Amino acid sequence: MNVLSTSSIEALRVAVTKTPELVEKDFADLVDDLNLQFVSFNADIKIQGKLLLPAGITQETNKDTDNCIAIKSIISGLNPARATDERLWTTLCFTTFSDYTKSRWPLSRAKTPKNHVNEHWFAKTNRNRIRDNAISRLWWMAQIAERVPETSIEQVLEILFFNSDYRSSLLERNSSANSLNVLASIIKISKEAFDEGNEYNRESFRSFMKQVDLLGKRTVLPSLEIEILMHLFRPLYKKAYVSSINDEP
Amino acid sequence: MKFNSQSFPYPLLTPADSGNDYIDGAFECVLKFSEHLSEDDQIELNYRCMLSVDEIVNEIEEGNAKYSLEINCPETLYRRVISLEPRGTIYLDATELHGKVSFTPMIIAQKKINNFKSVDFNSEYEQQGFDLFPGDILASDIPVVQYVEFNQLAIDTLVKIRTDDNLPPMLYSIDPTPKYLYISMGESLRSLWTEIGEDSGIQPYLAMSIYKDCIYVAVEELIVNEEAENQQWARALTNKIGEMKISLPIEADFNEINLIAQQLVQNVGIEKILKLKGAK
Repeated sequence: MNVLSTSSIEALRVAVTKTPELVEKDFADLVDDLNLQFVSFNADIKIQGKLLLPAGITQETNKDTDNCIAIKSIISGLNPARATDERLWTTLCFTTFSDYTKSRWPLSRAKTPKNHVNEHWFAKTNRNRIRDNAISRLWWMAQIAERVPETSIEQVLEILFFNSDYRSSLLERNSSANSLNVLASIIKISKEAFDEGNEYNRESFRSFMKQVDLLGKRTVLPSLEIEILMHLFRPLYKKAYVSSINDEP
Repeated sequence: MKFNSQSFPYPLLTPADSGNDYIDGAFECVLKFSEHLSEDDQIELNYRCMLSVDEIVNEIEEGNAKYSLEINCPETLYRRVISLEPRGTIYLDATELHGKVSFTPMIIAQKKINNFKSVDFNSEYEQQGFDLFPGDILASDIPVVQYVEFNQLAIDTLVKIRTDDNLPPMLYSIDPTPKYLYISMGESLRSLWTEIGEDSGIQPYLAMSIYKDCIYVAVEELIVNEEAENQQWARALTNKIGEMKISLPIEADFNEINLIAQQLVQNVGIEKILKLKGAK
């Protein structure tokens, strides 16, 4: 497939940052107006199928979980190394998945339109790619979910998508996001707690993740088995939740 | 992953704190990466661990600790710890790696180790023993950083040296091809390059001359050839230029390109010479 060249991505970024409404414009017109160029992506990627359009803005209606599960079969032949390429994701947001992107991230709901288009149509940084870009976030979330051992992709996605703050705390830390066994252990412990009726608490979970980071400074957590990690993390999790409950006025 | 032994509640064998926690002991792991990917996109990595602290050697032999290699690639969310033998070869799937990849050799406790002590401990420990737990680090070496670009290694490794019998023996030329940037050398120069290339004191001078010329040609090609981006080395170079926040000029100007090329080889050229000079 062909993707926008790096210089065309930059030209597009400059143009839509200046005039965010351009994302609503017909892409063929943008190609002409900005003289955008395409280059071969040099990978045998096939795109077959469509993403579900969101029916609302809540987690239950935005179809994120369904689309995460679908994206891996819609885009075939893509590996993690290639999936770091902004040219691919931006091209897809403006072309094949333009309707989905506009529907999932309507400009009308943007607090700051220029940030909104930069976050959801482009993928400049690692964080943008995993968290913000309309299409790459689905692929990377599915990529993480399917690699977590001993848990189904649906279960992982269900936990990751129930709360955006939980997802951020978990995936934006080097100690947990990059190591699958650490990630799996935390997801399993969270699920245990939720199943026991202990609801998610933002401050408690953040405090727990800080303790995991601290432990990771002395102990090489990715070298440990999931069961051992769960054994280490359980008391930290319980302590973080008990402390924050005791701290409440 | 960098370690500061002072933040550990037990003695840690690290090159950075040489002589602090352990007096004479050393742990070193030499990593040698293959220059080419295999057909199924595997990177071959040969390694050899060297350890001179008998008590840690004993723990490894008894299965209480292992030589290990932590591989961390933030761009692809890849972070794994692989157990190593004292020497051997491992294969890494290059399709899972991109951008900066760090390799940190370590020795990690696998089981609880009670009352660990060494005659090589700094005297301030007064032969005190320490309890170690699974996952605790006993030793680490300096992390090695590699840059991986898509299915190929980074720009540095996309530059290939080859002998060209048609060239005068002491001359060289730069030849960009779709996959690699070739530095073609006459026979005598190639032989000299091989001989002095192992000398870390001379390597920076080579980087500032021949290698810089190669990068100069590559940057110029990026500016003047609109199709350059289809070439593998060009994408790697574009990434590197982006990481360094360097802007390319619209027109190919000798001085501007020369400045960019100098910046791109600075860390392997002039900076190394200055470091070596400072070390004397």
